[in-house]
Amino acid sequence: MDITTEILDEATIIRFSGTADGTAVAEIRRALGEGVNATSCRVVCDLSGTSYICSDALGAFISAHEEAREAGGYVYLVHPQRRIADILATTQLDRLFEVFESVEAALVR
Amino acid sequence: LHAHDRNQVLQIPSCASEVHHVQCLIQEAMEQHGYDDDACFAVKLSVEESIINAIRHGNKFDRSRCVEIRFDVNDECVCIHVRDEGKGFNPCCVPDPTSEENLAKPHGRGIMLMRAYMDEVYYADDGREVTMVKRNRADG
Repeated sequence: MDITTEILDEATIIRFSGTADGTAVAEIRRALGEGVNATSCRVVCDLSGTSYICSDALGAFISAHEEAREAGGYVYLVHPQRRIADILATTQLDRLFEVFESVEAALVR
Repeated sequence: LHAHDRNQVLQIPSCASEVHHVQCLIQEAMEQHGYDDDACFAVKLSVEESIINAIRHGNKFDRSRCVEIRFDVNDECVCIHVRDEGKGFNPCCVPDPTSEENLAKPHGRGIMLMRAYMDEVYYADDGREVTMVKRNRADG
């Protein structure tokens, strides 16, 4: 999985590209942890390049979301591909996460 | 990693890095039998979830314990059995990960995903073995 981080004044944008399987979970968790700490717990996760996600990787996003929320911040998800959106709907995690069509839409929320 | 021909039997140590090899073998067989991308995605996800459950909850990450995977891919369906060497469990007692009290918990979604993405999922031998079936809809 390729992960890139961009730190802006208003939030940290993290772009996840490729396969979020068990071998990528530690890397995902580390990136989210750094993102949560970087900009007052405001993290925007661009999932437009993510083609697969396992439940452990979902767990990494949930943990970051809870950590950010408790500190008054957020973890937003942006533009998940159809199969990832299906997983979010199946697990009802679309009730937990706010999902946006674009990074720009998430930043002006 | 040991594999035999059509009805393949694999034994892997309780190590998450082994999952990818199993996924690749099954995906390759599915592509040869004309399964569509959605079916391949569903099986890939369910294989990972079932093996990780076997390693984590069954074998407790004990690398001296193996996970056995048996699978058969043909034109009609994919049938996969995943067996661990643990104490077993009651799949009826697994908490609902979509309930309000569990929604923000980072674990507990594997079985739910397997049931959602496969056509059949059932357990045997007190939960030590799960069988999953995905039917081929590529030809309608």
